[in-house]
Amino acid sequence: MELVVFEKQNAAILKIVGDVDLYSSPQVRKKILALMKKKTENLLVDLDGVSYMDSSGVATLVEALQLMKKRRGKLKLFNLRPAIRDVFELSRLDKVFDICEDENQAMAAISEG
Amino acid sequence: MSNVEQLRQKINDLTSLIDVTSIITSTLDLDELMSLVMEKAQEVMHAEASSIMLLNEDTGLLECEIALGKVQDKVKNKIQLKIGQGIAGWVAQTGEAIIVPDVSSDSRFFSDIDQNTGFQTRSILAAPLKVKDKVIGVAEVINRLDAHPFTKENLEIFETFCRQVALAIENARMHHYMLEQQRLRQQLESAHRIQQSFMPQSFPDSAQERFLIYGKNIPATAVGGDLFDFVKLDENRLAIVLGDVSGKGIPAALFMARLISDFRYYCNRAESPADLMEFLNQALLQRSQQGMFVSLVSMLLDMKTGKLIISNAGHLPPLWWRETDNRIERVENEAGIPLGILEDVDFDNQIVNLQPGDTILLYTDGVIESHNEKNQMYTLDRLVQEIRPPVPEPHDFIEQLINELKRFQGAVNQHDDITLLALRWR
Repeated sequence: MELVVFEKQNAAILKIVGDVDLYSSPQVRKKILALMKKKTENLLVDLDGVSYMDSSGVATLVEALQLMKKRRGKLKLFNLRPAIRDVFELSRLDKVFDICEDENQAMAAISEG
Repeated sequence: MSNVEQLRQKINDLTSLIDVTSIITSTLDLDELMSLVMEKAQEVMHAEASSIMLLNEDTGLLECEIALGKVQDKVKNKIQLKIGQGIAGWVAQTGEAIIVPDVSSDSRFFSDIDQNTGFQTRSILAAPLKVKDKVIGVAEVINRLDAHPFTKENLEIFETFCRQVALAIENARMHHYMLEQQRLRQQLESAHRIQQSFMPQSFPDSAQERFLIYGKNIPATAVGGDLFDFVKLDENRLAIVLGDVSGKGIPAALFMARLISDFRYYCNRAESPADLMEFLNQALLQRSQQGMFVSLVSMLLDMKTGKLIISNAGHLPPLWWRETDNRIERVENEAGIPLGILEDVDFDNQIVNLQPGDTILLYTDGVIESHNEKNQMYTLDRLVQEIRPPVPEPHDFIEQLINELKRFQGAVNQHDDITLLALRWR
């Protein structure tokens, strides 16, 4: 698994490359908690490199969402492959997360409110 | 040394080696074993003291496990060396045995230990403890009592001792590891039985009842995060749930156990399945852990009329076999997301009026996402195709679906928890 973070304006973009499952999601969680410590205002998660995500992976993103909400920041997911989109839609999590097409749309969604 | 003396020495060495072998096979207590062997080594080499340092894999340091001689209490479990530090550190680094006839003229010697203990090291014989070319520790005998230097013959026999000791240490560790694994396995087996006991073990089958119900849970590992349960609230109403906690294994199992107790507590207070979802959502949010959530179907059956109220919190849609129409319907709720994620979520109630012969099937994603040897997924469509008239009564229906699923999986390991529940109106 590869995790890359870069800052853009008032957001941190976390790019995840690899499967996000029971074994790898603790790594993602650690990275997200580190970003929370750094007082990241908004978090964008790029899922282009993710072809498989199980419910442990989704739980990690749920925790990120809950933490961002507490600090009134925003969490956006973008670049979801069809299989990942299915994971979210099947469990109605597409109603929970803000899912954007791409980075531009996600950045715009942050400033829109 | 004359030939006769050499032969006598060889015989002594071989005898001591046999002694070491018998020590090694006599005990699995590692400390006792190492002490006995080093006593023997000291005796054979005519040495004043000896020690075994083992490599701690976590810290990368050599730690003194066994020390024999007059300052043993100051050394055992107290001395640590880095790899490369001192004679022992050098042996660990290079993997080579060494004779140091006079430590005072050897720059590798680490004199701090003598300064702290008051012991005076003069000469050292040191050899690595190796398992499959990997150094796991270092053994040393120190100061020959007869003031002669340690000999090449001493070194050879000591290296042989060390090979035996290294193997014995490895065996003892393996034995310890296997005992630990066995203990864990036994605990998980108990945990499995305990978890299964949280879910219904018997199913009402009285001729007076107008319904039949049966469910089965097969966790992927000993314990899992799927659940199902049902409770008769009074003579008219039966509350039923089936769900899937995020994640797997022990965390999911603990979460599931608490959720079943929450269900049993709130099902009497809630006015409808949607109302129950709100109670459960609040309860889960109050003790939210690492984003864990659960998708759940909650149903309330009127046992007199067959009216079934269904609420769905982000779970897969229940399948409704309609006997009179000979078809299957997916029961879709408008609202509802998994529980434990957000506050103020709306849940709705869907009403299904069951007719005689109708069956409702609930299932978790472990069923439809099962894979076979060709890496194909079972899918919801295939599950739907499996439901054909005559649809058997719940027990046979569920067992038949599970058998079919097992046939599909073939030799592929089950990678997610599987739970199925069927409710039939008659």
